[in-house]
Amino acid sequence: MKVLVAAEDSGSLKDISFPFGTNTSVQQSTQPTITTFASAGRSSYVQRMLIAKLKSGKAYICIARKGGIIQLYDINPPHALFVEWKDMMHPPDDAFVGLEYVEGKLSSCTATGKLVMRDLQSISDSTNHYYTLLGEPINAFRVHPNQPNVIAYGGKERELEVSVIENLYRREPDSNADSESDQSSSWYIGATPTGRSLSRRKLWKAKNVKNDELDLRVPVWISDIRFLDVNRDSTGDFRLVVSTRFGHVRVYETKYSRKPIVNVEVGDHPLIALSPYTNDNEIIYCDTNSTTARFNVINGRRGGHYSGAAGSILCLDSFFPEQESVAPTISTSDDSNSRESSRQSSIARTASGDVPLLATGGLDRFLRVYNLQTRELVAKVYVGTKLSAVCIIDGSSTVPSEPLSERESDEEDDGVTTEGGRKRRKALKTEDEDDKAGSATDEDESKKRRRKRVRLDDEEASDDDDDEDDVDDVWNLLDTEDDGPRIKEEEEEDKAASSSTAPASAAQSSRRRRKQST
Amino acid sequence: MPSRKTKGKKKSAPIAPVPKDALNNVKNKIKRENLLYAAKKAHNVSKHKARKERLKMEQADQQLKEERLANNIPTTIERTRVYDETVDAPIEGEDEFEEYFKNKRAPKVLITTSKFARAQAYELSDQLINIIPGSEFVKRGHKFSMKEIAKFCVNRDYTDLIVISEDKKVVNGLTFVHLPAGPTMFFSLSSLRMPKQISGHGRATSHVPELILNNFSTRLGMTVGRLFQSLFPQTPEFGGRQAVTLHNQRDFIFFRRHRYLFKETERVGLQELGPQFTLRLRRVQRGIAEEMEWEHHPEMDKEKRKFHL
Repeated sequence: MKVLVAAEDSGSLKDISFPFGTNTSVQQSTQPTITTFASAGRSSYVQRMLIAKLKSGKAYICIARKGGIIQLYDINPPHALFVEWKDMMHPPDDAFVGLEYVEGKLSSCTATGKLVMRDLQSISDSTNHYYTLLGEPINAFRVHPNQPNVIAYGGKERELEVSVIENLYRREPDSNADSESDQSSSWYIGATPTGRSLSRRKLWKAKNVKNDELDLRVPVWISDIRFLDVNRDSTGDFRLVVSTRFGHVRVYETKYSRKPIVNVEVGDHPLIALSPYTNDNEIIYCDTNSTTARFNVINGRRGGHYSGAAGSILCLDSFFPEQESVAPTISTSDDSNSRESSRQSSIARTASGDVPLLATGGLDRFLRVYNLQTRELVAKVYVGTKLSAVCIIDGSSTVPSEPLSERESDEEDDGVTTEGGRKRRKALKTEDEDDKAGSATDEDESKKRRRKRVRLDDEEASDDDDDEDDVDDVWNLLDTEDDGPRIKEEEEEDKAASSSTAPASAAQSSRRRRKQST
Repeated sequence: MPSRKTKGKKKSAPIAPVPKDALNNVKNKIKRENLLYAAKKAHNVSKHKARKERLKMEQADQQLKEERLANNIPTTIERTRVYDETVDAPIEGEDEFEEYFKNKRAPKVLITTSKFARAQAYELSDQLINIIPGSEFVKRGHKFSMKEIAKFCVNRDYTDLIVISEDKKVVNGLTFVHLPAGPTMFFSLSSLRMPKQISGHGRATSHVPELILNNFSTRLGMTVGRLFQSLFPQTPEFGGRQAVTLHNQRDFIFFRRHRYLFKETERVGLQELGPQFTLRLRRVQRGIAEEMEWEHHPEMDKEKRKFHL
């Protein structure tokens, strides 16, 4: 597999490739190959990093450095610098708190609230960036994974806010867009009367939780935000999960309430980051005291730990083999296509041995890669510097044998996420797999079954009917007033399901009980 | 029990140890004891004889001694240490101590105690002021937290803050905060001996001492070493002939201070100046007590041959 990490001490990027089972703490084990590039010193270390795959088929490493520099590097060795943008930073110690890439738009946000959106489809156009000021202070910033014009942000004493960028129109490809305009996105940032600034409209703002038992105000300090349930039909309401520097994980349903519907203090230590899990019911969090764990946003329970770290984890990255760089989600809409595809991909995954992975990096100078579901340590690599950002490029269990460039181009030729493309990609990967990896996944599967973990999205058919109810469990209950008929429908479905199929889970039965009581 | 007494003989002993069975067959206890005594004595005598012979041979031929020393490597716990890939790995990039090492920033250290400290903490602070050139003591009030104090220190251009923790009249810890941006390290402190408890101790002078850092080998150990280094001015005053030693052995850091004396051209005499104490790293935090970089857990002590510094 191949992982990209950002070294804080030297301000460089490191391209690390190694097979599963690598452990540098064992002298005899296979050693990883580490290539260092893009050194810029500690004074401008990489604060955020992501991989942007353009529709034209090219992929770039996007990094946001301390000091207001955004750079694009070629994803293939020798990692040539492609573009660099330098924004003025006021004050000079301003930091990037968010770097997001959605549908051709690269958005960066700083702690002082300067949001810049760039269109990567027309990179050479010097006037392609648009900005707005969100106001100080901001500690967390996200763009909706499916709607590039919806942003969420929050910070110290600043409640979570969801805004929409209004002058981000959907249009036919612009004739002015150059070079890569052939397959360029249908999104484009329209020129506005106000020049190059974006106009922003507030959609929703959270309200603080109730005072504590001593009737004292609970302080606000949001450290990370994630959108959940991103494939839902309606565009106006969102489900968000938020971590705070006071150790809380909060879940908001914008349609239902301004206050969180789940608010759990998961620990005494400040939380640093969130990362998606294979389904929308759970989320991964990490805190300043070397804890990385899973959290169930439905019942508010803490899951298992991803153990081993000696120091605080600063960066997480989840990797899902079937849909690269996008969190797979249980669709709440009745989209038979997506369901079909998810079923297919889950089978394919088992066959190829590709597993969802979690990469962590932090102050102890180790890169650790876990199996996202079984929480087993898959690989451990001593990097030599503190890690400020981490990104899994290739999640196969072996070292990518053929040059990555070929595979990448192959993938992109197929288009972004067509069925055929996915199948072919799977086929490619299966060739790479060795027997060992296959057996490992079998073990994983059996373990998973043994633990009777109920809500994993790759458990097949029998669960598929329930998907909708699972996700909407709590929320349906809460929405009773608005949504009477819908619940009734589901009850029927539920009964049908329970009578016909599969052992009903504890959660299901408890839900039924609650429903009956209502 | 005779069998017990025969234990612990060296493998390299010139004659075989006392045969157990032979003694066990002797029924009379007094006789058995005498036999054992005689056998032991014989063994001892032969050992000394062999040593004398070896010495003679080695004096005649220097190479023999070198060979023996080269071959005779005892297996200590240090030598059988668990493999650590960070040992002697080159330091990549820069860290928070860059200002001291690259730009030669002179250290300015503030020493204070925990709140409501008692006599011993003040005695140790006296000693530390003596040891670290350019350090000042400020009595700790009860108003401000350590984070606030660290901020005040940054405003006043201090490079380090040392806080002596005391509990139940006994000093039990030292916190080092490197300023302005950390890291913060907490050590537990034990086996404190003040100079007046050390027999034959000398009186320290105000010269800048030489600093000896031993065995800080892992990446974490290097960070700790660099912290201690950054407390002292870079050029010592050799005229003072004073040396401060921080010796790391199995993750215990021993602090000693000596004056060396040139009595003759061959050998150097040492006079201890004191104090003595032992430190153990408990916690390293980034910044001023923020994210945890490393923390000692009791489970870490399970593995006797795994060392972190």
